[in-house]
Amino acid sequence: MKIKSAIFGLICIKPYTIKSIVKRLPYAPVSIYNAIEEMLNEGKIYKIKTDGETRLDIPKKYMDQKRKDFFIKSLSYGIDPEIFLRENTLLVWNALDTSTTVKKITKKTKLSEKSVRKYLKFFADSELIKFEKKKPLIVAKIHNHPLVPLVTSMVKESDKTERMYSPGSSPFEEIITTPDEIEKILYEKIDDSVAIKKTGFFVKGKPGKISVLESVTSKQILEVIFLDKLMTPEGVEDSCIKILANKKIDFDMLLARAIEKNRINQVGCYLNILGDINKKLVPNEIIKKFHENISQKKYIFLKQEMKYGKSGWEQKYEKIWNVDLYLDIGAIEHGARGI
Amino acid sequence: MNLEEYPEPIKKDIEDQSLSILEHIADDILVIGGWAVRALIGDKHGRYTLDIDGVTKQTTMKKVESILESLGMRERKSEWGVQFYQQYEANVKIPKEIQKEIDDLELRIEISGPRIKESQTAHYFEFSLTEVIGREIQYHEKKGKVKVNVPPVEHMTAVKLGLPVDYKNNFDSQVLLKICNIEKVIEIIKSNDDWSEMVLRRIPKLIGRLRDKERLEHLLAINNDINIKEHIKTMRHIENKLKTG
Repeated sequence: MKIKSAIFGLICIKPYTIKSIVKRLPYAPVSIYNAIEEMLNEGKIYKIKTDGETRLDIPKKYMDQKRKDFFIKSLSYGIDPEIFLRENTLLVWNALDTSTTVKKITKKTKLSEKSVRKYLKFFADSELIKFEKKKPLIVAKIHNHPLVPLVTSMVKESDKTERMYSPGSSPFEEIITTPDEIEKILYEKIDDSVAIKKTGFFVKGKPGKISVLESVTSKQILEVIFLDKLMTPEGVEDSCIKILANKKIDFDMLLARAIEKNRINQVGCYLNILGDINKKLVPNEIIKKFHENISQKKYIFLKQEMKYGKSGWEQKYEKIWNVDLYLDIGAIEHGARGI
Repeated sequence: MNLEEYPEPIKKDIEDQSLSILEHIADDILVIGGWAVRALIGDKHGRYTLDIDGVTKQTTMKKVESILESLGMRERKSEWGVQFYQQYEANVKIPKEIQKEIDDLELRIEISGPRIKESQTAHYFEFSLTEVIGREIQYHEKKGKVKVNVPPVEHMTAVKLGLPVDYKNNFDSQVLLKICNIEKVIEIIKSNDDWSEMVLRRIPKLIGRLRDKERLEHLLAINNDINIKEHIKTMRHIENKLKTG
C-alpha cells in the first residue's frame, strides 16, 4: 500500500498524533512526515486538538467522510482501497454500468485491452463482479456488494435539482431532492439551521434562514412535486403559487398526472381559484381542459384543514369541481399577491 | 426542486430600488405589511415582500399619485386600493437562466385608505394615521437609510392576528408578539370594529399550526427563539380576553 493511503487508513479509524503515526506505520519517518505535509496541503486530512494533543483527523465534509467510510469498508473486505480509487480503476468500474464485454469497455475507457483485463481481474478477485460468460468474456457488477453504494456515492454526479426563484426574502428555503443529495446538503449546511420533513430532525444553527429538506426516493418532475404539494396547506398557500408563477409547469403533463393520481377535481378547482385571483397564473383554456376530465367522485380538499371548517365562499367552486373544500382563500390570495 | 430567493445581488437590487421609490413618498404614507414588520423587527426578521404596502388619507392620495407617476410608475386598481407598478430594470448582472423571469418582474407599491378589509368578509381594521412611529430602513448597497412611518408594534400585531393564517402572517405575528405589550394589543383589537371576531376565528388555527411539529410555522418559531408553550399561552390569554369582551 502506498504511504498516503496507509496514513489515511489509520486516521480513518481514529485521530492520531503525528508521533504515533510515525511509530506505528512501517515506513521511513521522513517519508511519513513528507506525506503528512502533502496530505495537509491537499486538505485530505486536518489537525485537531484533543486532550491537549494535536492529532490528525479526516475533514467533516461529505466527500471526505464518504472516502473514510469506503476505506474502512474496503479494508474490512480485504480490498486495497488505494487501487480501487485510482483514476483508471474507477474508469473501468463506471464503464461496467453500460458495457459488459472487454471490447466495449476498452472502447469506452480508451484503455488498452490488457489494462482492462487487469482491472477486471482486480474486481473479480475482490468479488465485486462476476463472469457471466468466459468466451467471449461477459462481466456484470455484483450490485449487492456493500462497497458498491459507497463507491457510487463518491463517483456519481449530483442530481441537478431544479431551481425556482421567487422575489422577496424568505426566512426559509425549501429543497425537495433525492436521499443522496440530502446527505450532501446535510454535510454542507450542518452549521446552519436544517430540518428534514417527516423525521422530526431539526437542528438550529447560525442565525439566519432554515433549510427545510424533503426527501424523495427519485428525482421528481415538477408536475409531480406540484401535485404532492397541493395536498398540504403550505403548498396550497405558497409553494404551488410560486411554481405556477415560474411558468415552468407543463399543464398537459400536470393533467395526465392528476388523472393518474385521481386528483383532477382538486387540481382543477385550485387552478380555477388561482385563475380567478390572478388570470396571468392560469390561462382559462387550461381550466376548461381540467373540467372536461372531472371525476364524478367527490373529494375532500384539504383534509388537514377540515377541523377549521368552511368560511362561506366555497360553494361556487364546490359545485363546479365536485369537491368538499377546506382552503383558506385569504391565505391563497396573500400568497398570490406576493409573486 | 429548490425553491429559493433570487441570487443575493439581484435580491438586494430589487429591494434597494423599491426602497428608493418609497423614499419619495415616505412622508406621505404609513408603511404596513411585510415592510413594516421588517422595519419594526430589524434584519433578523428575514422576510421582505416584493410589494410595499402602505395606507394614507384620501386627501394625500392625489399627491402620492403624482409623485409616483413622475417617477414613471403606472397605476391599476387593486382589491385594496391602487397598485403603482413599473418594470424592474436590473442594475446587476442577471444569469441567463432567470432572465425571462426577471423580465416579467415589477416593482410595486400598493396604497389604500387606512381601513383595510378582510377578504370575503365585511370586517375591517383601521390603521391610525396619527398614532405612528418612525423607523429607518437601511439600503443594502447604497449608503443611507429611508425614514418611514409605521404603525406601533401593538397595532401591527393586532392586525396580523386577524389576517389569514398562512405562514407569513403567522410568522410575523409570532415575532411581533414577542416584543409588544399584550394588553395594548387586546385593547386595539377591541377598539377596531369587530376585528376581534376575525382574531377569534384565526387563533385556533394559529395555535394548531404552531403546535404541529411538521409545520413550517413550528420550525420558524423555534429558529427564532420563540418559546412555543409561552406563545400559545399568550394567544390563549388574548382569546379569553376577547371572548369575555
